Amino acid sequence: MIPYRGEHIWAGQWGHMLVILSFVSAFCLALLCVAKTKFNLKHWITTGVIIHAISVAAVAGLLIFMLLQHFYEYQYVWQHSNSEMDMRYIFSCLWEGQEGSFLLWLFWNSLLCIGVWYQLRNSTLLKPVLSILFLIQAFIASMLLGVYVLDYKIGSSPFLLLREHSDFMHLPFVKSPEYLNRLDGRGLNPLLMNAWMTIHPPTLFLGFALTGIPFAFALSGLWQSSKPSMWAPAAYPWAIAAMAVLGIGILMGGAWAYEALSFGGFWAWDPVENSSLVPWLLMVAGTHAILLNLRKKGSNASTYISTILPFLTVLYSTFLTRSGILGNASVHAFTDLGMTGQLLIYLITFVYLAVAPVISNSIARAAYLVLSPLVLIMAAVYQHIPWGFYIWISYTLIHLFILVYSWFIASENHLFHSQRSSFMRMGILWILLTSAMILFFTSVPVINTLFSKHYAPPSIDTYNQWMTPMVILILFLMTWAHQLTYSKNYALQVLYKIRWWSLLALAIAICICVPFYILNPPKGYYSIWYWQLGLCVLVLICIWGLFLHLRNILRIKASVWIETGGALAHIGFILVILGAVMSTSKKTNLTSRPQAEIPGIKTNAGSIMLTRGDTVQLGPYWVTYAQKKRVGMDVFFTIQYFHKTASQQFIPAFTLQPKVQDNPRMGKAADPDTKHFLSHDVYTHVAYADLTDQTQAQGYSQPVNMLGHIGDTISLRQYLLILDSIRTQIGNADSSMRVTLVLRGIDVKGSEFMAYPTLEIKNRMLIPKPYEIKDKGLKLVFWNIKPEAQSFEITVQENAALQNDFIVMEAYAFPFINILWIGVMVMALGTFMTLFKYIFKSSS
Amino acid sequence: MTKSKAFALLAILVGISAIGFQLWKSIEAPSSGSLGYANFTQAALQPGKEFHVVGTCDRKRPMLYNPKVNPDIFSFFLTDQNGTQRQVNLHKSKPQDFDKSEQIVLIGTIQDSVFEASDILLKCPSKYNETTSR
Repeated sequence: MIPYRGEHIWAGQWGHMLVILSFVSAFCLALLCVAKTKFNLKHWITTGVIIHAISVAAVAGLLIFMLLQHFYEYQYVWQHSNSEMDMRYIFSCLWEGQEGSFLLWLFWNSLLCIGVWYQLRNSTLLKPVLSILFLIQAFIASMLLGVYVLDYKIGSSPFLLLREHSDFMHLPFVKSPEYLNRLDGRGLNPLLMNAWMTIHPPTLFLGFALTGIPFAFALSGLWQSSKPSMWAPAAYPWAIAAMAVLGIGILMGGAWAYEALSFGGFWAWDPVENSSLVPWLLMVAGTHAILLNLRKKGSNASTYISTILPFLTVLYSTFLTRSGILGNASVHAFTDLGMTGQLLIYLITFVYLAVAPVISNSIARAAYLVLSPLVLIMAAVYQHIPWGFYIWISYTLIHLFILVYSWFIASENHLFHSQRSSFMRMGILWILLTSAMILFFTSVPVINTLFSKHYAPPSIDTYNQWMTPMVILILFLMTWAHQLTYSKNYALQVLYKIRWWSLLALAIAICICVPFYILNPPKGYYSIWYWQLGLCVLVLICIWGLFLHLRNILRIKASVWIETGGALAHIGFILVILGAVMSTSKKTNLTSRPQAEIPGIKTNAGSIMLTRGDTVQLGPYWVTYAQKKRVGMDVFFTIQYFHKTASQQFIPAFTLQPKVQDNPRMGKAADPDTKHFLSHDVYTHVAYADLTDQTQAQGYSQPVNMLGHIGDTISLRQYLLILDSIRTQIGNADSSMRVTLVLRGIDVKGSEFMAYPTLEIKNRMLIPKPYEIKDKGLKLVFWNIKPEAQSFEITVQENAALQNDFIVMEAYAFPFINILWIGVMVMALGTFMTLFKYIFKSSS
Repeated sequence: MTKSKAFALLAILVGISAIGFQLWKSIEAPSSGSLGYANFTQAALQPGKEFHVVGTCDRKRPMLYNPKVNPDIFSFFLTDQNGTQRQVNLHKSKPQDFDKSEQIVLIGTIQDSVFEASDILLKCPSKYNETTSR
């Protein structure tokens, strides 16, 4: 035993114990809730819920305490924080790692469990719903256990000592008892030191946790073979909350990508983004299905499917992003923490729990019960032979198909009647189809693994093209459904009622589309006529939807203003789509250079090189790279944008300061800067730069001698120098005289500066005084005067270091991006209004 | 089952299978974009077609980035997963964290024995993940 000094062993012991307590309490509660006894277990459950919540909160609190106190003997603390970092990012450290993000999920879930327990405390739904929720909790808590069972590691603990971590235990430095004195943490990823990053993950995980609640309601309903109307009223507010929070969380991620990452956009159809988008889309379908079920009984199948799927896709996303299967497909490089098997057990268990109750044949159900664990065993034994998966997936799909088929046959709903419910049902189906498409595209790496293929992940264009018709139809269905009532309608009558609004929408859409899309078609695939048409239809349907939902809002009485929530949320969604479509299709690269096409090669001429002090034209602006400044790890580049007036004058427009973080431990990370205007954004990103500071470098060029008369102009690389006049001062002593040459300098932007090199004449001796203008990088020596020829000699040096300092820069203009952000806010507002309306209505 | 319902079911089935077929085609044989992951040898069999190539940069051989001539060309040598080496012309600015990258995914075509890449994905120890830099 080595007597280590300064370690806080108690923290890790408490942490381990609390994690185990939270796991055991969750597992026991799950069992307790399904137990069939005649005892009254109510108080036991209450106690259990509280113990569980306290233990989870204590784990989180302890980890934050350890991060604050810099307990670097713990691997998690060492890896995600250091002593230099700003303490406001302490929470980012908490959830940067995989263990921390599971802890976050666990924490939100434990709070939500209390909420559900409070809501259902006097209901018969309490036990079945809590049993599912605590089963979920037990699974998540097991991810943090970090214990070994028969050589298989279950979970990964955030309370592991650095010297016990497999990467470090054999390193010599941990053998020293004093190793802690020399240890500082590795620190937080620079990309995550961002305000968005402190709020985006907790919001997203709250959304993920919230999808678990409608899932728990639906699953308990399925196992009791009850109709969704039994649980729909209780699940509805949770579904709305899940939809709202998940939606906000996703778009916060978009805002983060837009503001802080160098993607050059807010959405890149990255697998990680998609895997939060799909649960949201399905939750939207689920919320509407529950709403439909509340208004009109029936549509049981779609309610069950669309409330169960969001959580299953959350699990699937967790599997995708945490198992390392995405490998080369994502810009987000997640590594395998050796929990793939555990995540798979988690996924398969819940798929089993969702599918098994709908298999009516008892033999088939038993077969499914045997097959599911068999898949795992086969996967564990034959690691590369996925035959078990083929059988299991086809078995699951066949039963789902039979189920949907039988429900379709049995349902008495008429799909094609002109009433709101029919169109809502169609919309729900259409969202399911859209989600399936995105999920299919995102799963290409999984398909590659399962079927040993080498397909490339689909390009952004492929996604955009496939989504165009889907979104058009979703927007049409949601708008049209909102014009109908739940009773019978006559389509022609409704059309007649909305004729003026529709015509106005058409006129405005034409006004937008003709200048933007028809006269100036965007580049890329949009130049093909049918995509151009698709864009126009999309814009038209957005405007139409906006107007008709506005009509709906205006028809609602002011006294029941809270009823407008649904229509507002729809307007918000339409604005998000409109903003996304317009800013993406009309995104212009300001730094694109004309370049000869090389046949067969896709070249980007998307960036330019700017030398310090140079001014070049970028679209409507003139741009100067003015300055480079190092503040700690960050190197800031000052980029000035100018307007040029008709009289050739440069008026400063705005200044941007993109930066590159030069982190010795993490590498270099660029952080773009964006100027926001009402109508558009200008995004500027330094793609490549020399980060060494050369401002004070002694890099002056060889002196060049110039001979000139008054009125002459010397032209330099960056400036014009005009010999304006001379001033002569006779000194006190008769023999001395000082001659000052007045030079008027003009830079490329036409702004002027003055230079006054002087020459002293003492006893017929010429004593030149070097004159330097540091910020212009100019050195002048006025050294000779020829009175008879009225000419002067002057040597000029320019700072070569300034000339050699360059950046490679990209700039984009995103028009109408604010429509998107306004849409997000309107959507959130509308959804929360609906949520509060429902909560107040059900409590009063 | 009524006649209209059977018809609707048939229409839905036909519709979904048509969409499914198109989806599969867009993955298997995309009309534009990359045909999939390949090594240099496979990509060279179909010059002019786009592929994803995974490999590592050979840092012993020259890397050329001269933004004064063209900020959007960066040349280096990549060793693919089979060990084959080829010159790569990346038609983009040199990624800032290129020097720390481990694995590289390039998207591009082979033209005259040079791999002309239009896009690059870097796997760095820095991005997001947990890999410790040892």
